[in-house]
Amino acid sequence: MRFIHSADWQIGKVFKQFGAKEEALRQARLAVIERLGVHAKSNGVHHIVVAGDVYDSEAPNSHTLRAPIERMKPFADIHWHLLPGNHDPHRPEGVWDRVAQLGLPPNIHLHLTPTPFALGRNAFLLPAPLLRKTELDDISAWMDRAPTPAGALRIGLAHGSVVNFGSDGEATNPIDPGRAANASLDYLALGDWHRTLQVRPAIWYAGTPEPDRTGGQEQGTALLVDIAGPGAAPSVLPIVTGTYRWITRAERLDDESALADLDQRLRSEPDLSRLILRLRIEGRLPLAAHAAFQRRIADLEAAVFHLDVDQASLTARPAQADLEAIDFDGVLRRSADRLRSLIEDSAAAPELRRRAEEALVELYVRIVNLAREEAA
Amino acid sequence: MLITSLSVEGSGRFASTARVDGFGTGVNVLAAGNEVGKSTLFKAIRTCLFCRHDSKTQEIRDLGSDDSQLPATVQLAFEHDGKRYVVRKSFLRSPSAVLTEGGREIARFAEADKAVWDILGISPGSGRSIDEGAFGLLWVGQGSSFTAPVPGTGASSLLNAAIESEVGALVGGERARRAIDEINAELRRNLTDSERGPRSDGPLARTQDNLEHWREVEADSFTKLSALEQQFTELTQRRRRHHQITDPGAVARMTQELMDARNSLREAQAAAQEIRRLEAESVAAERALEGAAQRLRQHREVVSRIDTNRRREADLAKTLPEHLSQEQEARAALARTEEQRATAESEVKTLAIKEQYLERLAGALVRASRKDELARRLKSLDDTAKNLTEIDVQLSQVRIKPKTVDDLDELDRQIAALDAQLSAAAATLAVEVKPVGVGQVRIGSIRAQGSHAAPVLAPTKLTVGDLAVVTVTPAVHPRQEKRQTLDAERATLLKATGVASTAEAHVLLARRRDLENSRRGIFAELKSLKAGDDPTAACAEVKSALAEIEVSIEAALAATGRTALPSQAEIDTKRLEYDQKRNALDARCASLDAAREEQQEAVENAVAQRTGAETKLEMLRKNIAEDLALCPDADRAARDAAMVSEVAAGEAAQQTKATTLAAVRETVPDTAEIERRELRCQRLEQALENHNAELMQLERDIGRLTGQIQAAGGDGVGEAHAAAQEQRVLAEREYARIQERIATLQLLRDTVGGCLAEGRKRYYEPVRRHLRPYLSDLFPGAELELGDDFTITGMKRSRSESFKRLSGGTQEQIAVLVRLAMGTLLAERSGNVPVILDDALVYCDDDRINLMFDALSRAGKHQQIIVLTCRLRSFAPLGGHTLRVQMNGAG
Repeated sequence: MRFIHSADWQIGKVFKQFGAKEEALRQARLAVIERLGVHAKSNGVHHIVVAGDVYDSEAPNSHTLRAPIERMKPFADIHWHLLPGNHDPHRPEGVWDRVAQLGLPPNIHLHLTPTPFALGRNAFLLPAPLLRKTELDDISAWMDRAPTPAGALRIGLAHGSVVNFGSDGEATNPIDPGRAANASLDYLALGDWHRTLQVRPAIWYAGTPEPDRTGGQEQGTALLVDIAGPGAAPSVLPIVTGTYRWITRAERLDDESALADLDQRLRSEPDLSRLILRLRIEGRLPLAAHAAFQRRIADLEAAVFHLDVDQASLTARPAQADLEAIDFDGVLRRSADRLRSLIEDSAAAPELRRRAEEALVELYVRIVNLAREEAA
Repeated sequence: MLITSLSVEGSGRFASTARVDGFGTGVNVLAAGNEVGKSTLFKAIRTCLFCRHDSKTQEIRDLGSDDSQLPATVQLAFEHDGKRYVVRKSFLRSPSAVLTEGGREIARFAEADKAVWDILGISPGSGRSIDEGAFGLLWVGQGSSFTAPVPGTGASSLLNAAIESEVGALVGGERARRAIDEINAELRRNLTDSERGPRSDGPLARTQDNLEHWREVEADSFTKLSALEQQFTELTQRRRRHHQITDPGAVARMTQELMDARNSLREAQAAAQEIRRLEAESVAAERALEGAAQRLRQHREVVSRIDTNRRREADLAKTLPEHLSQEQEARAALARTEEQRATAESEVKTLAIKEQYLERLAGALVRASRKDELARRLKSLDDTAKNLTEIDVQLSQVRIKPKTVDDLDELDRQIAALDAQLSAAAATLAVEVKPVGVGQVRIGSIRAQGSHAAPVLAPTKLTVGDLAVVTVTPAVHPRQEKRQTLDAERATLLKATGVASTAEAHVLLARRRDLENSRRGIFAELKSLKAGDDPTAACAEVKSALAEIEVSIEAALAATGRTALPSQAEIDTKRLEYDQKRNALDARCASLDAAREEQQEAVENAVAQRTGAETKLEMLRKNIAEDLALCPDADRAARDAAMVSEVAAGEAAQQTKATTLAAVRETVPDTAEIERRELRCQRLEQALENHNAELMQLERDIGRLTGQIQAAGGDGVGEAHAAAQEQRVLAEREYARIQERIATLQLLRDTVGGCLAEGRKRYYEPVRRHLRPYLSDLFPGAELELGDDFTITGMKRSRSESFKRLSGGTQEQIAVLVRLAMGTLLAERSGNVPVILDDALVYCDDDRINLMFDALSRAGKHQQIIVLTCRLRSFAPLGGHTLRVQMNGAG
């Protein structure tokens, strides 16, 4: 038995912080479906199980509702098994009733009740749909008693957090990690955790097929699962489904050479135009280097798909040369010295010191520009 | 530089040569009236030093004299750095320029122009203009002294050089100002001028609006999402409940339970109906028994009543004769008493007649006593009436009125006046009768004697014996006609009055007034007699009263049969006698009336007793007859036996019914049980109705919630809420970023601004130090606040005041003082330039102008001060050198 395990499509998720690029990210999530179909065809797979959170909201608009269905329709030979998750639980007249009312083709299956579903002659899917956003009980418990013919594969499909597994799961819907053993499951396909993860030999989180945040899975993936027969250990192979890479880098900059090094390393990342980069910078830079850093960031921002820089921990350290660049003496130099004193005043409020630092950088940049204009 | 002399020709009012002499160091004053040409001289100095000789600018054309065919020529002698120079320039026509040093020409034409500038340290400006340097600062033209000095480039350079030679340069000031200007410009884009709030069209305000917008959108979408969540929850609950109450087993159980309850109730209700029927029969039997017993009781009562009435009839028949006897006795006593009462009544009537006669005689006696008084009154009235008649007759004969007499007096007065006037105007007839002529001469009818003189008012005959008759006829006087008219009027009035003269009229009027007084006296007498105004009528009334008294006396005597009236004593005695009789009769009548009433009551009682006994006897007989009709004596026993038998049968039937009812009651449910079954049926029916109502309500709710959820799902409220949340976060971040940026810029601006202010304060210290003595002369303790480029921004005394808010006079005084201080500063740094003030210090009061003179004198220690003024008396105390304009030819 070979199938693809995916989860957490979260179609309709908004990305307003990306401004005009939002639509590209939304389209990328839909492109995942086509990519899964292609993978299925190329690997001889007839079933794709999606372990919850097909939609990001249980009240998507009509276009968002239809879009994934329309992307699945062209793959008529593939059976798509969709399970409600905590983002899109099945409730009366909710998102899944609306999907059902669209008139689905026979290859798209909505698993809205905990009922065994035959995947061919020798395999059964045991879905555990969420009927509300938060369940206090383990809704996969019914699998222990789910009847299937002897000798048939039993594949569980659920969405939630494995008990005592990590505290940063997306929902509190608990799933017993012993479920596979208790319910004699050959494979338990899970969703909710946005990273590909093997919990037990036969229990896997597929991870998100298209990341939606930095700090998680960098590249969107799904799992190609191959089970030789009942009781056999599953063979699980990640396959790439994502368009954009979401990466986070934390760097320390204390001089211009570190800045140049960072710039070189970031620019060596593959496929910059599809890179979403979050950069956490810390350190202390001279004013000249600080200004150079800002220029490099501006350049890099134009090179990647999106750049988010957190420089709250990057401080400006005015060097003697910086201050002399402002002036050797006189009004401006005294102003710079006064701001520097404020920066170094440990009794001053942190936000005031931070503001003084920005003011000093601003002064430096303005005076350098003025000098440049005057020289021109 | 020290100006030593000036001559002007062909300029303004100076068509011919005018020379100003008397220049010296210190203060120089040219005090002259208006239109003398002071300002022309000032312009001439400026033009001579700063303008090219061949220039044709408007300033130079203005300098030229309209009616002069000569060029405008200015010659200025001055000393500079110990050398004597004379520059002479001619403008407009045949322009030329010559500069001499110590009497030796050192330059001519354009070179002379430039050489002057070189000597004075000023430089050509752009184009053909020049920068006048310190001269532009210290030479103040007419009307310019009110404005604060703003040094030009050259002057600033000189001042800066002087300052920097003392305190060094203000480094970075210009860049700092530019930086501050740029920062302020950016802040202005975001904040209002006061920086108290965001500028309405700025990025900060837009971001704030955007943030508010997204907060509202988020709140709105959250509300919708919460509503959707609530609808989901409600729909789930409704469906679960719908599933529960539509369970067929439960519904069937409810229906069966209701049917069982209804059957049980029907059985109980039928048993209750049977009980009610038996109860009705039992009640009927009881009523039949009661009827039989009642009839037996009534029969026995009739029998008893017949026997009793027969006994009472016999007793009454025995008492009836006794009642008749008592009635007759009472009637006899009453008749006796009424006879006695009639006798007494007759006596009373007789006495009343006697009393009536007595009273009539008494009245006649009273009236007789008034006869004498009436007779006296009648006599008085008669006398008064005669007097009044007599006076009225006399009054009718004297009809003259006071107004007529007044009119006559007025005519006499006018005639007398006219006569006097005529006499005065008339000729006088004077006759002197000699002794021999006595008796021979007559004037008119009067015999003349001695001297006689009278005016001749009318033709007058003078008869002299028989010798002659001389008629003197006066000329007709114009007043004569008036005199005649008055005479005619008086004659007419006298005739109408019936008198011959005015004196007679006066006598008649006096007589009439006497009569009128007498008449008023008579009326006063009549009033005292209460007789009104007509004494005749009063007399008639008195006579009538006398006649009436006589008649009444005659009538009284005739009625009583007497011939004369009794005396008053006799009448009083009779009255006493009659009163005693009347009292006795009244007591007797009252006693008889009381006895009569008592006897009448006794008669009525006796009659009542008799008739009552008769009526009772008749009623008893009637009752006996009626009862015998009901129960004849012959049927009495048989009827009693039949009724006793009927009562016994009713008692047996009633007992049978009661026994049956008690037996049935023991076998059926009681009322409480029936009521319980009824309540159970009602409860089950209500429960079924509630079930159906709930089912309908649930189906309605499910339909409504389904519609709402579908609508919300179609709107994509979840997606919209997520988008609104992110937009709100973005807007918050942008708002915070702009606010932080503003705070950073404000910090930078304030820091740089503070350092710039400190630097400027230090830089301006030399200016301030030179200014201080001057300022102290007028404004002790005051300090000027200087801004960029030596501008005066304010003055600090007890508090800081904006320069622009100071009075015009104070502004001018400060402006002049600042120029003096700057001049002193430059003078100390070898930049000695005269100070020229043309018509300055216009608004100084007496105190201030003296203080300003002190300041000018103080400045005069360092440099030449030239004051041009038209206020000769006010500037006399200034002292200094007095400049005079020397004219050659007509000025």
